[in-house]
Amino acid sequence: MHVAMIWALQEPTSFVGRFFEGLTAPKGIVDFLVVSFMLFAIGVLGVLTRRNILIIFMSIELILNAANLNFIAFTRYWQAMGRISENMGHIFTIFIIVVAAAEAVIGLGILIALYRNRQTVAIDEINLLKW
Amino acid sequence: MAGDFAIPGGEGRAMLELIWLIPALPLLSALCLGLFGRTLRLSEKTISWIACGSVFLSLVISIGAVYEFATAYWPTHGRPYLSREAGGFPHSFTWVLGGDARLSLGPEAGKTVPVRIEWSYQLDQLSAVMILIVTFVGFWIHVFSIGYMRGDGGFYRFFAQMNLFMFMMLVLVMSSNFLMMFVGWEGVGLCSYLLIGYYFHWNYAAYASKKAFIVNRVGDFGFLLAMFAIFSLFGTLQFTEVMELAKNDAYLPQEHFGMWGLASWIALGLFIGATGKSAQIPLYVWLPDAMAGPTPVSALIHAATMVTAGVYMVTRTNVLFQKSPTMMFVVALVGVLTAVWAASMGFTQTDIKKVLAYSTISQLGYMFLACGVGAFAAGIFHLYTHAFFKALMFLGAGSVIIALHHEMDMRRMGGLARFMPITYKTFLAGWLAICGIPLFSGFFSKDEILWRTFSAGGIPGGRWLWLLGFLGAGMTAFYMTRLVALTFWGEPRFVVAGGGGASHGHEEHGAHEVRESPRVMTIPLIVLAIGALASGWIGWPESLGGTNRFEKWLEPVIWHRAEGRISPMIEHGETALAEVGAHAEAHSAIEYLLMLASVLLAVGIMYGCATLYLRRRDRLEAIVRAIRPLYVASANKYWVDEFYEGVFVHGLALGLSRLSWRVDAHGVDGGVNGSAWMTVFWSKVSGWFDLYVVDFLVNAIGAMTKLFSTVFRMAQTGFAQNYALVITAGLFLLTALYLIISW
Repeated sequence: MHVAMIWALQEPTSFVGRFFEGLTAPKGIVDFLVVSFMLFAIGVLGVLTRRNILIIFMSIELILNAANLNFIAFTRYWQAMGRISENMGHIFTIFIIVVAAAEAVIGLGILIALYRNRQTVAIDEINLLKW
Repeated sequence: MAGDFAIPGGEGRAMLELIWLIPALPLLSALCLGLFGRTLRLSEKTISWIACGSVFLSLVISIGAVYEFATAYWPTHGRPYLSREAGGFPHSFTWVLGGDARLSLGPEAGKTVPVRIEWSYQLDQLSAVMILIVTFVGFWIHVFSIGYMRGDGGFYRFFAQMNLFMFMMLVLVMSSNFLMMFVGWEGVGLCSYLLIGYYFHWNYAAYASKKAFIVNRVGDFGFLLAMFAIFSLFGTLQFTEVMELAKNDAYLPQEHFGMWGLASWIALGLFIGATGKSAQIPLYVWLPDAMAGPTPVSALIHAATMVTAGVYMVTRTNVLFQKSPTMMFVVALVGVLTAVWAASMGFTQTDIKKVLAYSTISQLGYMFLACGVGAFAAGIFHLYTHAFFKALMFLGAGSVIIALHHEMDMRRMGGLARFMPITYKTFLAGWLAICGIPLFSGFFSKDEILWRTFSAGGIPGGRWLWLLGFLGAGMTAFYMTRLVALTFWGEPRFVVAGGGGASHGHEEHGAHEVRESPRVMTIPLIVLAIGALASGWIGWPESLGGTNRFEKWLEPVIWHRAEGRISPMIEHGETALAEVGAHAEAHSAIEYLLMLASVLLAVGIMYGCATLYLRRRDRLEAIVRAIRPLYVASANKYWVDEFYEGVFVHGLALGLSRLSWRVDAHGVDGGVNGSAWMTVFWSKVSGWFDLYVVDFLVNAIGAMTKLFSTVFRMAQTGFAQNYALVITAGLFLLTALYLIISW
């Protein structure tokens, strides 16, 4: 995976490579991207496979945090490269955390109301909206 | 007269400016009586005062206006007085305001002219004569009617309609254009209809009024067509303008005898109108039946005024007639034939009013004869004298009829001279006048006509026309003497209804109840008798030492071609009318001879007829037996009514209506039904199309949707994770796609 990531970043025809065109091989960032990808993958798998809605929420948090990690990593990287000076990714990350918190509040609220009505938080039992 | 009045620009026009009141006053009275006569329960006295008073005021204004016209206006201006000179409403106003019309005839064809017709009154020599006749005779007939209609339930209705008639007649003769004249023309027709049908509960009166109205429609059709032609040619209907333009050969070419051109068509249309209104062949049939109305109506409308409207109209448009000698000849021929034809039917009538009706038709024929030979002034002169003596005789007949309690059959009269001296004596004046006894008015006018016919050049068969007219004069003397003899002379043959025992031998008892009419009826008789005697003196012919002021007075209205001849056939027109004055001496011998002949004829026939009817009944009956077929034909009015009934009413009208019914039933209804069938057919087709094509498509779409949805709705599992899986799969798929494409 590490190797594939480096290839993707270095290969000028790949979509990731487009961003780095003309730059030196970004060895330092690859570790972050790998961690981030793993977080994202764990999150997606969790969303797709777990029955408990609480766990699914947690998985969604993982996905969001994978994105946050990317923001931070790329901001640091581009600052190191001298292409930007502002902490743009940081700001986005904080926004995402805030929005995720608000979303979690609403989601938990819905969850509690759901539990009161159905005495369950298993997502495969909430399947009324079908044909 | 009115010179003291300071009217700007008007030299003595005080009365002239009031001429709009002449028709307006009778109209006002008619409206008052017609609208309020019943609701206010006006007494007979009030009604009489209103009705006669309004006509009397019209008479006063007429006399004043004519006096001013003759003394002040004509000498200074030399043209007809038009009430628009006095300003706007009510003297004159724009009556019809149309858009532009395109002229279709004449030298200015294609030019557009505005249709603008004014309502204004025209006073010239001709209308002056007419309004004086109408208001004077009309007034006395109104007075007579007070007595005649006494106690009639419809007193107010009668006078309202009489006044309305006066209004319409005055509009007719005072109109300044054809359309306005047509209003009067139709208006008098309407009033005639109303008054003939005055006793509308009587079936015959209702029938007679309808007949008069419908026969007149035939004539009015011709008048209308002529009016259209006149407008299409001249672009105006104003008499003064039309006549001025018509004199120009560029507008209306002068025709020769035997030619039939535009002028002939126009004149023919006008003359057809005149034959309807003035009861000439072939449209005379309505007048005898019109006697179903009250007798004063017959006197006013069917003797003195309305029926003379045709003569007035022909004289008014004499320029148009003179342009067409062919039509002049037709007018003369129709006139003289009517005179003889109607007189021959008068021989055998037993109804006193019918005799007078045929006499009227006959005298109108003389007027047309005069117009036809170009002696328009003589025609109007006869119109004028005839108005007096014929109104007089009708009123006299009315007086007799009232005295005998509505008996009209002369076979049940006789000997009335003893009982009704005033009626008798006044009637004698009318009788002598119509027979043409010298000094009486009819002598002057009838002799004038006969002499002009005899001396008219340029008209083929002028002498034959004269001979017919001469014969007609003799016939007139016969039937009028017969009427007088049967009514006033001999022994009484009547039994007064209600006199008790009407069936046998109570003549003497009944006869004593016959009284002279009250003064309200005899005074009009006396006045009109004086008119019958003296009215002709104004036209005293030059050959008898007079000056014929009547003809001189009408001179400005009658057109003479610049050559000084009426007739275009100069080479034959040895004695053209306008030169009569110059040739008077050369012809006076013949004139005296003709005069003498007609007087002798009249006197001889009067004597012979009186003898036959009074003393030699046996010989009379022998004569009747000898000419029985003729007698029966005359008594049955030559079956003309039956002929018209059969050919026009049943043949033409019913045939046409049957034909049009057939066309309607089979053609029109077929079309309607066919279109209904088509509608049904097409709606069935389109219904079928809707049901099987449109609906099929709609249902097919629905079925397809249903079919596909049964399959595709399975994707909607309701499990959120399924959807998430699809999203993720999509993400991977798109990423993979991107990678592959950008490889």
